[in-house]
Amino acid sequence: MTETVAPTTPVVVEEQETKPGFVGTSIPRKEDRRLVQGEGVFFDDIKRHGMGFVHFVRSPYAHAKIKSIDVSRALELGDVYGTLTGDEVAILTDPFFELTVPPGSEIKDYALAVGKTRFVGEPVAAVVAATRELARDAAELVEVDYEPLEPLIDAGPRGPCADPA
Amino acid sequence: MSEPVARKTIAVEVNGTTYERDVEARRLLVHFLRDDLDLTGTHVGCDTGNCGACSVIVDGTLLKSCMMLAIQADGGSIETVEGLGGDGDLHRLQEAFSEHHALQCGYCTPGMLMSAKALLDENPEPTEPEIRRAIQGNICRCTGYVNIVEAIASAAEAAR
Ligand code: FES
Ligand code: FES
Repeated sequence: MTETVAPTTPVVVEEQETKPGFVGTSIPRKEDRRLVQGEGVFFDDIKRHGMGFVHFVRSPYAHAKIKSIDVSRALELGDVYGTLTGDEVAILTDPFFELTVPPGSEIKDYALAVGKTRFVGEPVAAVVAATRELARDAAELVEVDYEPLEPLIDAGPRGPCADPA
Repeated sequence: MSEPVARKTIAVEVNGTTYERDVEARRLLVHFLRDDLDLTGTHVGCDTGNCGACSVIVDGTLLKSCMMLAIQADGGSIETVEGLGGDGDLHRLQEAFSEHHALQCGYCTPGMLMSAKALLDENPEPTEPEIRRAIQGNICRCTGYVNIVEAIASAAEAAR
């Protein structure tokens, strides 16, 4: 036997579903006031006592092997807090997590170029100093020895991706 | 020929207050505002003159403050986002941006507001193409431009 259930009063679902709420209404945002007044505190707006400023040494080559990086002259300047190279990044950190499938996911990508640079302007070393200007001066003293390689300048099939680097 | 100077003491009026600071000759105006005067409402989005996040008004002219040296502003008068509106009151552009959802993260907003202010100072009744042209040097990565254009149009309308 099949049982059925009959409601005692008519079932109305729309009433609840369309009750005025957030959907379809303009809700004033809490954060707007400070943001339109320039009072939003973004990362770059934060200052700490004794804070350093970073300047990156960037690759002038689209594709090159990094043979060596010499930071010693930069470190000799007073008020230079420290330097960081791609090799140090590779030792101290894991590669970035790649949000894709192979072969893209096989790329080993770090915060600084490791072993090779793959575009003009890729950061290869970082210098931190007491002031913005000093960091820039010190970065100019970092010596990078490159071996230029043939750059890939157009997109197109290049055969099986044997060397994703 | 005079010797080039490495640093200089400059006096600059910002939003009605005159500040005197000793600055390196190579210091950019945007870093002078943000680091020396702590006016961090003016943002750096690119450092290369592309994004407009650093837009301020110098002696009545809209400028990207990453494209100018602080010492070039010596003796000048600057308006930044912090000077829009009065004590606790929002400028009509600030109100309109909020009302029309013309901002999301707010990073480009100070620059957008200053570009819009410079436009309305010069042309209180701009057409839509004029508004679009006025903000062509400002990049917004999240809101999209339609609401920004509407906000500026409505602020112009409100002033009539
Ligand atoms: S920071 Fe000046 S235009 Fe982008
Ligand atoms: S509101 Fe986020 S960049 Fe414009």
